Amino acid sequence: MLPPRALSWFTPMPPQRNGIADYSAKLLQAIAPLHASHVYCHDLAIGLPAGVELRDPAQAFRHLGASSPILHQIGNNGGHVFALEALRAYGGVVSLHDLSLLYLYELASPRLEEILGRMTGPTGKMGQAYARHWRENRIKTAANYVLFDLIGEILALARRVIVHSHYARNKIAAIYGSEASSKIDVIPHFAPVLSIAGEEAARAAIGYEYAVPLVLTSGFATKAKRFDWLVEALDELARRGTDFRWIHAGEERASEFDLSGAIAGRPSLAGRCQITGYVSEEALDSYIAAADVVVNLRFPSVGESSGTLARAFAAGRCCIVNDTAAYAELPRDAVVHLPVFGTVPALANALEGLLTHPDLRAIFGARARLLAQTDLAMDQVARSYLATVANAYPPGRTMPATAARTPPAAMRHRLSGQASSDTDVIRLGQEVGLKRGDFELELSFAGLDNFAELARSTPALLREALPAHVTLDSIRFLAGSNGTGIGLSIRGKSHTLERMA
Amino acid sequence: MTAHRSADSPLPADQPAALGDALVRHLGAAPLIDLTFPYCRYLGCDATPVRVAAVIEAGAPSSRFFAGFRQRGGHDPIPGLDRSRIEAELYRLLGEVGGFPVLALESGETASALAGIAAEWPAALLFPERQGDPDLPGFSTVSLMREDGSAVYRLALPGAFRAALPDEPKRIAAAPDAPIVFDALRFLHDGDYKAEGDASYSWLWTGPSSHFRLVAPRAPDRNARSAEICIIRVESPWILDQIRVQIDGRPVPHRFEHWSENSGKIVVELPPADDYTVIGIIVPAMDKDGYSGRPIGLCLDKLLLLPA
Repeated sequence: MLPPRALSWFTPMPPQRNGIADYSAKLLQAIAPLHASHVYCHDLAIGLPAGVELRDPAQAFRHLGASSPILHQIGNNGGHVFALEALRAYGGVVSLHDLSLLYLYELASPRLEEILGRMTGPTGKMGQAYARHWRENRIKTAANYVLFDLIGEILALARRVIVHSHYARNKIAAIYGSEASSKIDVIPHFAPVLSIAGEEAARAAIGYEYAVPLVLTSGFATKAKRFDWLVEALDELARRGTDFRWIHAGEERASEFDLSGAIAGRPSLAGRCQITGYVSEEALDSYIAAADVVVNLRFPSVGESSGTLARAFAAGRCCIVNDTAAYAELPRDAVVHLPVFGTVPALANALEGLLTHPDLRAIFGARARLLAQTDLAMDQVARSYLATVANAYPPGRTMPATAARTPPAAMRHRLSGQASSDTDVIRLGQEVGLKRGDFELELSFAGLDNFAELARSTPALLREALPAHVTLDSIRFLAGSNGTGIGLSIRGKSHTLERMA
Repeated sequence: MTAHRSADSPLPADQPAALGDALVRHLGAAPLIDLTFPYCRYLGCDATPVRVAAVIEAGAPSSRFFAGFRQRGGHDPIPGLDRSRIEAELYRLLGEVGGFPVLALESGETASALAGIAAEWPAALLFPERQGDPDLPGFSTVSLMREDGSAVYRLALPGAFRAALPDEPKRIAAAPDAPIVFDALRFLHDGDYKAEGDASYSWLWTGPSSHFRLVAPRAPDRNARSAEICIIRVESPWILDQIRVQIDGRPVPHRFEHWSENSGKIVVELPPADDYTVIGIIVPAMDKDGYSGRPIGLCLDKLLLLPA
């Protein structure tokens, strides 16, 4: 049972244009009647349920005690930086909406080395190599966002972590081990109650006056949503003579995929397609309820869940997804799964069959609605959340003080050694990188000649010796202890993770 | 209204003292350094401090929060004196202010801790008088008392300045029943923009953050029960109807009294707090300044703290 103290939420809220803000707002509507809640966020938080206070996250320290139950909603965008900072300050339960948080950390970290330190944790030498490329050559590719998830800190700090699929939990277990996965609970993305009922009303609401089936996609038109596949399949469908219209209810993201350009390049699609731009939650509900088929492709998937899909289930719509990651967990009789290889012909065939057979769409739609009303029902999800929070705050257990988790005022870590060869220096440099915090490394050289020879043979010796997550503050010469040698005092800071120490 | 959580409140909020008057009589125009930020117990006194500073615990959440605040309408930082090395940091502050200053402090304990510095500099010490206050060897002290005889503050001077003090406790007048007015150049706030204008009239635009936080000094000689924040202009009038107000990070009801379509004042009741008070104003949207192009919210010119 949850402690009687109010549940404090750190989450973005509407009107911020953030899918997780919408998610939180709906979840809060369901949880607030069950348990007192406060919301800490910078947004105006329009439409909070009665009794829910909107509080200033910057002054949360004035109101949160050691046993205050806390829930953070964390996703991979700038709207969640303050929630990450609050997790660091107060601990709590995290609802993790993305399995890769590299972009969030880029926005939240004042120094690149903080990020590089986290990259080199679970991935070892590969992380070190990528970190070095990033820092020294400014090479950062899309691969970084797949290879380095940067969720280790959240797994370490959170009392419990909520993810939305078994795929997510299994992936975390595979990377971070059983201890991390033992604090994970799987709570599926809820299916919300839509603001509009009935296909006819929905079509009227969006001004859809066509007698042909409607294919719908939504959200930001990102590259991973594989609009390239959809455009090609719809082109094929049109050339086969199947009639349809396609609406994309969302914004383009031309930096990732030129959706307008792709459509314009297919003459068969002329006059059949519409891109709406940003739509409100209510409008999105109408578009979904008006659709005959909702297409929600994703490849590669990083384990995310789709709010649009959950809405489509609630509306009893027939949906098409890729058979990958979390989407593969959806019941086979409720959603049409397509392979991630050879998707285009499969998609064209599936669409042709579904668009020309309303009874088939109805079967999938009915199963989807049943899923929404049972496993994904809002009330069920709300109670699962409260159960997770209750487990995280068992009666009588006091949260460790924030200060206990915060490293004490840093003592400078001191290391010294003889630098007879470049391997000596590299060994000592790597050792420096293992311990987080300020350091002083003293290198002793046998003499000036020895120092000069090392500088000649390996001009960038220090750069090679010190890991990418180490920053240098100062380097100065020292007199050798035997009167003839020479020394270097190197001061700096290692930004590595604590657990590597 | 709910009372806010009590932290270690350094001073009772309702002890009146015409402090500035008493200080001026005894010490002349001595510069006052108020070391009680964020309580700012002395900021509403007749003697305006020349500098506000905080004694902080490094790493404490409150230190991080207040690090974004500035004094003099945003023009000057608020020095945070790390309690663990306060001597060195206080010397630096004294050096900046110069002269024979009065250090206005939280308590007799703090006065005792800083007595060595005050004797050496030299500087006077001012603190609320309480039973059991530690002695200050080498200092001469006098109590500043209300007309009714209740002690309020103790003023301590290094022995060499003994002649500046009267022999008897000094009786001072009760507090006048009048609002304390802070113009924009006296704001302590965390907004990005600085007060504009001069000593005779000043104003300050909020922005670019939608959150504007303003310290409401808890003056020792006036017990404020409500606050008024004067908004002399917004570019978009609808913003005025969507302002939200927080006290200490929690929402509070407020009243908005329009002066015109795009001006007026926020009136908000101050909870009976013994903690410090931060007024937060959340602005729904920013406008673009026609001259500079910067995003602007509300143009404020005064904070009024009104007695009960």
